[in-house]
Amino acid sequence: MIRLPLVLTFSAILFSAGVYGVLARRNAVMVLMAIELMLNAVNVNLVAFAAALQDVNGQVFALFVIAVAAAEVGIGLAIVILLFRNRQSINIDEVSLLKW
Amino acid sequence: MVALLSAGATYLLLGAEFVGWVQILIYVGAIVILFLFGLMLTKAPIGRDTLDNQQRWLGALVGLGVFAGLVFLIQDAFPYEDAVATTVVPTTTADVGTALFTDYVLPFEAVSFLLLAALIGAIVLARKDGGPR
Repeated sequence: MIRLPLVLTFSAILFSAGVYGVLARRNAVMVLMAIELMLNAVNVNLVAFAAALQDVNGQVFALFVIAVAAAEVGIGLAIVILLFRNRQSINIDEVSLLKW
Repeated sequence: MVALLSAGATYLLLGAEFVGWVQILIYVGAIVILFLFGLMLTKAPIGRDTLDNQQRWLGALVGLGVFAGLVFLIQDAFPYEDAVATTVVPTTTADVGTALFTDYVLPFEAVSFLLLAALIGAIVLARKDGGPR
């Protein structure tokens, strides 16, 4: 038994926490984890609607999102480690080389 | 905190059997370990002042604004009062597999290729003596 608005609200909480994490965290790894949180919110929504509509396609899309998120985490952590090797710091406030 | 939230999401997803277990395996099993490695490799500073930057309150404001907007939209689109408590019909793994390998074969192959490319890219990026760079 689920109530759709509750699930959607939970997903909104996850997404908001992700937004805050991306905006306010100083550690690049933490920013990546916040992005994961937002992707998780999308997954929760997809599965909730799939369950509400008795449809399996939403779950398939959630699986695709999980796979793409895993790829993104791998690349992101590689970039962060490279950044740390070059600058001895992963404070994203200091990474302003591309800032206009 | 983050791991707990992910686990909460996971158990909430368990109406969908296969996705729920995949979520547990990948997130709690793999990605958290990956993040721990990332934190340890980069000697993350601990402490309140080094955790957040100066935009903390602005970030909190934006986050709360997003949350309020989302809740308003949800309440607008799916009013809680006439939300019927839908009974979860558990979808079996066989259903997901059938859909995945009949309707979604091409996206599946694309995703697998993307994963391969990401793996190679990560190895190339994080290699010790990157070639001509």
